[in-house]
Formats: sequence, structure tokens, C-alpha cells
Amino acid sequence: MNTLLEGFALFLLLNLGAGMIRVWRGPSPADRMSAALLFGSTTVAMLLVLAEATGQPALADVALLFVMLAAILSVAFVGLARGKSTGKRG
Amino acid sequence: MSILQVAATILLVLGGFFYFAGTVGLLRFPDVHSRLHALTKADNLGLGLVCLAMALLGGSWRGAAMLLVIWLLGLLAATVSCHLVAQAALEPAAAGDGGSGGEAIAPMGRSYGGADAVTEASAEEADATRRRTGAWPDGSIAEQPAPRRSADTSSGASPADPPTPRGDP
Repeated sequence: MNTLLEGFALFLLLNLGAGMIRVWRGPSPADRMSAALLFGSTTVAMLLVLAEATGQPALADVALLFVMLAAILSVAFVGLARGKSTGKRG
Repeated sequence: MSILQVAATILLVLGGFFYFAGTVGLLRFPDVHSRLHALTKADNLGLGLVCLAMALLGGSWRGAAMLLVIWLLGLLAATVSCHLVAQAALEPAAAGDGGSGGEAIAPMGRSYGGADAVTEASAEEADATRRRTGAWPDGSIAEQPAPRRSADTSSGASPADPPTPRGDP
């Protein structure tokens, strides 16, 4: 069972790596931000799986913290985009 | 292997499938809004399935309740994030065309105007996008050409993006 859990965590990690392609290519900031959303949810699942695989329940607490911070990230992104969009275009 | 473990394995595999679907959607879909759509829905279903599997494996009610809270918070965060990012993706076109930034949705029919930088290929692409999706607000389309070109010059032609602009150095 542990092997399966670790393999699943590795699979999620590969998903994260594939998401980096989108961060790299863009093209718009919103695309990169949606990749960050992918990172948020995948990291949470990975932490939950690792908490079970390694027998450390504290990792589930870390996952709870991550999921709480996920919404704040996009709120910050929207504020940043509003401040920036006046200067760069034209 | 007990029956709980079998059930958890099945749930994990299903969850992995949905995560994979979300990642593929993020990489392959043509514009910001469809990417967001694929990502937030599929990933949160995957997260729910993984949470369920972990609750079965963990075997304590306290752990299961916490996983439920994590999943619900994840749903809430994804909903809020999706809405905010989608709105932010619409907005710059309205602001860049001289609007005050107050209107989130620009009127139709402007996607070819204000486009001295739009090449023939990218106009074709915008046309295809409009035909495929019906009535998009022009933000996502008028926005596409310039950044995509700069991305292409840095990374070369990418096989994962079906409509690559032609005629670029």
C-alpha cells in the first residue's frame, strides 16, 4: 500500500512539472496564474497522500494551511494585475 | 489487502485520472477561460476523490472530518480563484482600448480594430476562435497575438499549441 501511495505522490509531482510548461509558455499572466491554481490543488493532494504514506499527520495540517492560502493568492494576483495594466499597454 | 484498501486504491486511481485530465486541459486548451474551466473542475473532483481515499485509509473520524474541511475549503478557493482570474483575463482589453477599466466586458466587433500588430495568421486564428466559441468578448482574442508571438520566439514552435502563427522569424 505504501508503494502505491508513494507512486501516486510521484505522479502528482509529475503533474506539477507538466504545469510548469504552462508557466513557462504563458502567454498571458492569467495563464500563468491558472497554472498556479493547478499547483495549489495538486500540492494539497500530494501532501495528504504523503501524510498517509509516511505516517505523519502533521502534513495534513500543512495541507489545510495551503488550501486556506490558495484563495488569497488569486486575490493578490487580481490586485497586482489592476495596478500594472495601466502602464504596460499601448 | 482489506476491502477498505481496495476501495481506497480505486478512488486513488480515479482521482489520479482527474488530476491528469486537469493537467492535460491546462496544457492543451486554446485560451485562458477554457483552461481555467478544465483545471478548476477536474482538479477539485480529483481532490475530493483523494480525500475520500485518505479518509478510508486513515480510519479515524477526526481525520475524515479534517479531510472534508480541506476539500470544502479547496472547492471554495477554486471557485473564488477561477472567477477572479477569469475576470482579470477579460479586463485588460477594456482598459487598454481606452476604457476607464470599469467595464469588464467590451462590446463585440472590436477584435479586428486597434490591431496594427495583428498579422494575417493571427487574424485567422482569432477568426477561428470566434467561429468555434460563438460570442466571446474580444478581450481574450485581441489579447492573444502579441504575447503568443513573443513566447514563440523564445521557445520555438511548440507542438502542443495547435494554431501556431505562421510567417514569424
